[in-house]
Amino acid sequence: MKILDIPVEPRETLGSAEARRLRRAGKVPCILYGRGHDNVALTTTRDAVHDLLDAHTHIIRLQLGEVSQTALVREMTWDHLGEHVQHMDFVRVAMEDDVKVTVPLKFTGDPAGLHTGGVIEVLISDLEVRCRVDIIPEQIVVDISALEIGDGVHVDELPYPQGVQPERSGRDLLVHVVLPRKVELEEAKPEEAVIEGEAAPEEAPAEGAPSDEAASGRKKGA
Amino acid sequence: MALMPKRVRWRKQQRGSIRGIATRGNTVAFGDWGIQSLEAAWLTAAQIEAARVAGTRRLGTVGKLFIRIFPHKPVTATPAETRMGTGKGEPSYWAAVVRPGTVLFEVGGVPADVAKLALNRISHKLPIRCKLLARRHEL
Repeated sequence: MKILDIPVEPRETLGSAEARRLRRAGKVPCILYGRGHDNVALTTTRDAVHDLLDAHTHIIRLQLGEVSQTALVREMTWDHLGEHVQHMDFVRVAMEDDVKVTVPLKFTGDPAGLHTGGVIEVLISDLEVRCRVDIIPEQIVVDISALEIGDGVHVDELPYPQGVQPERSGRDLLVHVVLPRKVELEEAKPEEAVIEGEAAPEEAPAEGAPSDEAASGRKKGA
Repeated sequence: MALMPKRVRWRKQQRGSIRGIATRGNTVAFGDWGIQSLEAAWLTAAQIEAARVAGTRRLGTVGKLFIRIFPHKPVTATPAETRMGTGKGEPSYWAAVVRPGTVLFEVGGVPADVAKLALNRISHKLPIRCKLLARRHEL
């Protein structure tokens, strides 16, 4: 299990304006909380965040001067284009704690059903599991080479490491091989959308609505 | 067939203005790869359909294409050589309101090179600048 060291600094001034200033300076504001201690506002560098993303590890060691704290990444806030991390939440953990984490699934092998005209459809690509911090798997490898058309892999059929429990129902389908849908390429004539109210012209007018006679009377008078 | 709502409450809408960025629908959620809008625009149902056909032709029978936008907005137009007045025009087409960051199309179940080619074809049918986007695995 990899543990990545992330250098952090305490954040003296808080607020959105200060956070924007930090982001402009190439830093990422973050916060540390959990285990009954006070929240600590921190900041780290964008390079450290890139290292964390490349490492694909859950557990990290925050280096605040000479003090170090083991933590998990609880949440990452991205910008609208998914290019930069805007903010990170870290939660304090100990190695013996039970935690809920999201682990990526890696599907390996060429399904047999692909050679007979099927296509793979991945329904779930990340799985939430509960386990101790020291045995968090980096990924769960799923062999799908035996799948024929119509076959699938369910949550309870995965090879979980010992001590790792899925949080989803065991009957949830992760991946299956299906026949491709018929390709629709022809242009059809556009239809008119049904307007509510016009769909039921025989309905009685709503209470308080002007009747036809009253409306025509007003026209005559005018 | 071009996309349009089955049933609407009101036939005509005011035009409005596209403000801000996409705070929802801005991540790849169904497939493995997607294209993301970098601009704000109204995408017409015909443009979405042309993009879908281009993507489907490139993919063939493999993989799956997901359309993440829907043209909910009726756009009215006044006929040519019409005198001033006479009220608002009739609905002419349907459009999807797209903000910067909106994921427009996604492709799944195919290798990365095939997905990228299909999404490239799709982006050529759209009147806005787009960006290729991969699914992001959560930590």
